[in-house]
Formats: sequence, C-alpha cells, structure tokens
Amino acid sequence: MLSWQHPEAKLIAYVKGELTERDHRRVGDHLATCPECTRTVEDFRRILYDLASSVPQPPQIHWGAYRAELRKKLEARRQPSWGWQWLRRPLPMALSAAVAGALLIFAFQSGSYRPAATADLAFLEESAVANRLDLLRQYSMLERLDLWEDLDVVRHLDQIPPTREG
Amino acid sequence: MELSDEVLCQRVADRDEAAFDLLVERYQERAYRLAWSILRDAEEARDLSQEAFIRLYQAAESFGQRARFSTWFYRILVNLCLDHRRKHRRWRGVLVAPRSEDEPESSIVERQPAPFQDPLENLGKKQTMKALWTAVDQLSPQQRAALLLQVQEELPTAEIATVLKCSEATVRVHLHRALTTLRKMIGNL
Repeated sequence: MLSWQHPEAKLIAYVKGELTERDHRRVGDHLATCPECTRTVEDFRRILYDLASSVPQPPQIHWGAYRAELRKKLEARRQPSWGWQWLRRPLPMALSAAVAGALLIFAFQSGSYRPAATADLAFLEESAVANRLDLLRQYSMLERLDLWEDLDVVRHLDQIPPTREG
Repeated sequence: MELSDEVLCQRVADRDEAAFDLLVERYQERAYRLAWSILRDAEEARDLSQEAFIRLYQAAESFGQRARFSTWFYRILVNLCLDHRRKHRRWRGVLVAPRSEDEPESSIVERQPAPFQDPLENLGKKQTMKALWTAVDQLSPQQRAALLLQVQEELPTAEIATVLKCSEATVRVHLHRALTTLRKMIGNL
C-alpha cells in the first residue's frame, strides 16, 4: 500500500522517468487506483509532448555574419583599455610633454622676473636717497645713530665733515 | 575522430582559436534559439548568445569538467538571459507563431512519427499550440527556463538544476507549477 494520498511531488519525476525503481512502482500502484493523478500525469505528458513538437523558431540569421561579429567583439575585449592605448601613442605623449614643458618654463620665468625687477628698483631708489642725504659719505656715523632719537643729526648730515672708516 | 566538447573547451583554455571556432559552430544555433526562447527578441538573443561565447572564451580555464560542457555553457547563457530580463523587466505578452511544417525538426519527440490528424483538427491544434506558447511566455522566468530546458534541450532534472543553480527538488517544483498552470489554461480553452 502507498504511504501517501496523492504523490504530487513525484509526478514530474515519474513522467520524466527519474524515480528509483521502488518509487516508480509505488507511484504506478497509486495511479492504478487514482483517476485524478492518472489524468494529471496524462495531461503533463501531453503538454510536454505538444511543447516539444512545436518549439517556436527564432528569426533566421546568417551564421557567418554572426561568427564574424562575435570574433570582432572578442578582439575588442582583448584590447587594453583606452587609457593604456593612449599611453602607447607617441604623438599625444610628445604633445603633452611639449605643453607641460612650455607651461613650466613660462611659470619659472614669470616667477623669477618679478623679484629681479623689485631688487633693481630698490637699488635705484636707495641710491637716489643716499645721494641726496649724503648717506654713503657719513655711513659709519649713521650706523652708530638711533634714527629717531638723533633725527636732528641726520637732518644735518651734509654739514658734518667726512669721517674715516674704523 | 571528432573531439568532445570537453576536450575542445580545454583547448580553448590554452587559447586554441580553432577549438573555440569549432565550439561556436557546434553551439551557435542552440545558444541563439535558447536565448531567443527566454528573451523573445532576436537582437537581444543574438547579442547575449555572443556574450555567452565570449564568457566561455574568458572562463574556459575554470571549466573543471565536473559537469558536461553543455551544462556549463547553458548555465552561463541562461543566467545571462535571466539577469538581462531581470534588469530590463520586460514582461511582454508576445504572441508566438507556431513553427511551420517545413522547418527542420530538432527534438527526440519531434523525430517520432506524428499521428494522423484531419485538417480541421489540425487547425484547432495550431491555435491550441499558439495559446500554449503564449501561456509559456507568461510563466515566471525560473519556471519558463526550467520548462524550456526540458522541452527544448531535453536536459535531465539534475542538469537543469545545475544550469539554474538550484536543487533538483526546486526544478521539479518549477516544472510541476508550470505544467499545472498550462493545464489549467488548456482546460479553459
């Protein structure tokens, strides 16, 4: 006797012939006494047969073109990424290096020109003031003065006779 | 002597281009047809079946011959199609025309002699087939894939389970539910 009411879980395996010999016999025994399960099995078999015998076909394609396209796609995958390709090309590399070099030179020249100009202007300005105040002639005395306290002396530097260094 | 699929796949792993071409020629029609059965779109089927061959080429080393080559390859293909379908959520009720009589037969069932049917009965049969396949298109992706691998590729349950990455019991549940749905639909015609 069967130990289950309707062996639904085993019907597909029964239809496909994938049950063990023992289970196959048990399901067969049940089907002999159960019209409901017998009808289910018959319907399943018929549907599978109908589907297998009427499998829809996709639109036809040209297999040579299919394989050529596949080969093209495969080749594209084998290529390294764009970035690495770019690095391998000499022209973009040379152009980039040239642009980078020009920028560096420009930056260097602009940076070094301004301090030079400032230094030149300062020198001219100091020379003019020194000439006018006679600072160079009285420089040794000037070094010993406190600018603000001895402002009076500074004002009359041009009237003081030159002193010897030391 | 003709080399087996498994041997060819090993050679593909060693970057044997001729072996790859041979495998493509052997499986191109099946791959395209199965992809089309799942997707119901010729362009997508073409594209994804080609993608499956590219994956095969790239991953040939990982084919450890634990399964048959066809099972391993179908697994790549079916998962690509199911993923694609999942991403695009294309649930279309597409009417599928039944195959015409002059098209080549492909399954074991088809190769058996067809029973005689009169023209009127044949016309009714055609309409039933059309409705049946329309109902197949409306099944869940897993049920549909299991059913297609069964009726189209005639795979045993164990191989369908490997392709769909689930247990054999789950495959039987998918098939049982699919057939129950189709049976109800036929009963309502």
